[in-house]
Amino acid sequence: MTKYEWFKEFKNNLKDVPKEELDKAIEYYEELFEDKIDAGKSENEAILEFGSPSIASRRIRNEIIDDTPKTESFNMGVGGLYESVNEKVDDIDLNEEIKTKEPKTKTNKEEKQEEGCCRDNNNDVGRTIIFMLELFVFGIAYFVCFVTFWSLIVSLFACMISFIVGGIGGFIASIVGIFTVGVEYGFFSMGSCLILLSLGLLIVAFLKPVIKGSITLTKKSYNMFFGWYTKNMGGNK
Amino acid sequence: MDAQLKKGILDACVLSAIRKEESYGYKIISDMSKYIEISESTLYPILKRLEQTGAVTVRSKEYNGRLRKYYSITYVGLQKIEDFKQDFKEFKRIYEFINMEDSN
Repeated sequence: MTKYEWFKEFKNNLKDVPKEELDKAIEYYEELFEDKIDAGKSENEAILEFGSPSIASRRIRNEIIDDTPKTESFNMGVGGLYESVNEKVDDIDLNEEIKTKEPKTKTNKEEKQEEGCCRDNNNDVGRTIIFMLELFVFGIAYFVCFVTFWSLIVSLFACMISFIVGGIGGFIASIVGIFTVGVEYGFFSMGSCLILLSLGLLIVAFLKPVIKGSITLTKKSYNMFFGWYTKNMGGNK
Repeated sequence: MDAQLKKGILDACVLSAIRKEESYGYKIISDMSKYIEISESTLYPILKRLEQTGAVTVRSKEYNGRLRKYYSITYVGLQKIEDFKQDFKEFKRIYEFINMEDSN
């Protein structure tokens, strides 16, 4: 097969794909061809290495079809397109993911939503909706946990400050109290202020490991959440 | 080999082939050929997908009076390599488990 024949058949097979896509693909193979000639290969050799034009065009077609639902899954029925893709034999099958994820359980409500959104029996759109719902619920849950947790830490910090300040202030006041109000009262309040101060110092001792632990906990949960998110996003592609 | 697994491996390989410096189709294939066989018609969809997901960027540069497309890796691409390494670690653990069950 000559270069001309190869490209002719290749273009012929891809007549129906958008011109822009076809041009890009042709550019790719032209560049490869030139590079092979530059590397000292013959035209025949270079074309032989391309493999058959039908396989090359099929791969490009599959890739374009796989792409479409990525951006338009919300308003387009792609069920029909997927069926045709599933016929391919030995390709890197992007739809594998979609096929293997099929047994995911769906509630009735979500299934209804799926049907309501597009009349075609379209699993991809349904899954996207489920994922969006999950993302919404988990996102809020995660956010609430995050805020609650960190406000607890902040309040602990506030407690520490107020204990220490109150303890020191009260201690000074109680010394004055010993001489002005009475010895009994003064020593009593001094004792309670010392307890307050020691509580504050106790928090100081624990604050560092607590904050360190919370930061790692936050990081871990963040990674977990986004790991889950990207995994699902990957699954939707 | 399982198609999904192969896809992940090939993605990581292509990204690694351009990790050090930008590269072009023919060079990527020759660099990879030492380690993994990849056909030209397989590489094209991979590059296209990587470009669309923002893992690589493309620019056309003149070479020998013609244009050549050079691919360079992005932060997303580097992250993808790291993700693959992590996945592989997990895979190794699972393999050990499977292997252990076998020998019993």
